[in-house]
Amino acid sequence: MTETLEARGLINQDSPRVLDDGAYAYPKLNRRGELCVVDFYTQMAMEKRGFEVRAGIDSTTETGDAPVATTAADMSVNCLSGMTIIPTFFNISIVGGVGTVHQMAVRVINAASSATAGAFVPLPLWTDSTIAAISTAYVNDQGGITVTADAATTTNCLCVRGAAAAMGAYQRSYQYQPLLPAICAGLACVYLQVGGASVGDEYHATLHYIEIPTTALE
Amino acid sequence: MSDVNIQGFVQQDTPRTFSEGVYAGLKANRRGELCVIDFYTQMAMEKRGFEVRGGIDSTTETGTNAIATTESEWCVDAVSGLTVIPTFYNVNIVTSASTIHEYHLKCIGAASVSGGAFTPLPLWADSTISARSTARADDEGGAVTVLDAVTTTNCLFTWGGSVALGAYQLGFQWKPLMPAMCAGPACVYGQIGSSTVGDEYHFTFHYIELSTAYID
Repeated sequence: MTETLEARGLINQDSPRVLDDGAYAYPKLNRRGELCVVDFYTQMAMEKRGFEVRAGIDSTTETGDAPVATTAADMSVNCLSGMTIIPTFFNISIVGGVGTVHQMAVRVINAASSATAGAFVPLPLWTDSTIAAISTAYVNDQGGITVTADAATTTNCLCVRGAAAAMGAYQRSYQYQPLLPAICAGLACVYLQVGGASVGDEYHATLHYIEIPTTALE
Repeated sequence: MSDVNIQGFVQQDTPRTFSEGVYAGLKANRRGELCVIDFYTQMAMEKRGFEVRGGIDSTTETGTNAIATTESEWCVDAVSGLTVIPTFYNVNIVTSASTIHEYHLKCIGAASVSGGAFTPLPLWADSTISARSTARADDEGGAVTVLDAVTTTNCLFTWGGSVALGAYQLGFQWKPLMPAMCAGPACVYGQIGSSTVGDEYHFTFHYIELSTAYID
């Protein structure tokens, strides 16, 4: 026997509902009967799973490495075992780039970073959230963070940018916003390397990411 | 055990105009595909989208000379109980004679301090619903905000340069994949500065305004 049911929702665009966790509810429809959906990234932000690590304040910049070393980074996020972080946005602006052979890269490896200074408490992307990040971070410029050596067999390179000469004539800002994000399942480290051959670039940077238990994914 | 067929309702030629609180069949198109609407477009249709802007036609605003940590060009304040969700930011630099340019979009959990008021524009052109958020647009660093600190302030976007920008890229856009949730009291603000001579610019900033109780 086959039963035919009409899929129905509730027209509810004027006064949003405030449903509790665990409740069953009709899906929201708009005035034309279209199903209202929210994308994964926006929902993660609304669940307070978005965090930020940043470097530089107003006109006070950070200074890159000179030159970039394979085990040195300026910014890193360590994801503990059992957690996963998903980088959603990285943005760097080079304010001073007088050196040559500039290199900037965001990478991921399944090993933690370390530093003797520069511990950074990740900022929630929900401004007054009291939920602290489980991930830990460092911001320590001039390559002040130690990471496991970059290798093409073990390390993901999420984005990379470079220039061969003094940066006066080149674009000085760069963004990474993935279509297919990296799933950095802990134990993992996402890190930024930035530098020039002889003089470290002066920069601001910000990294946004989602933090979620790996069991909720896998 | 019986099988269940789930049906939508094909209606693409004459849109329905249901009243609030009515139960209705899910809309399907001529091929039976379920019709969905994304969160952002629906928010716009619910008249929850607003804009703050600076510069009119060929009349630009002027940035600050070297960004001070409490100076911004514009800001949006969300009162307690209200959440502002930034969705788009666009700056166009028309004149830039100076060096060491820095443009930031930031958010902090505290209201702004002072500056010229700006009434947020609805993104629904003839909407009579006023924003509950308030805004300021006051160039040359006239919108005063709480001190930037890496422990309290989100940096949503940053752009910079080290030489006079004459021949180079003079505009940028920011459109987040994962937006910040600026739950009031909170302030979203834009800083536009350079080392010696303020850049001449236009900007526009779009955001959603939603009661925090509908999210959290």
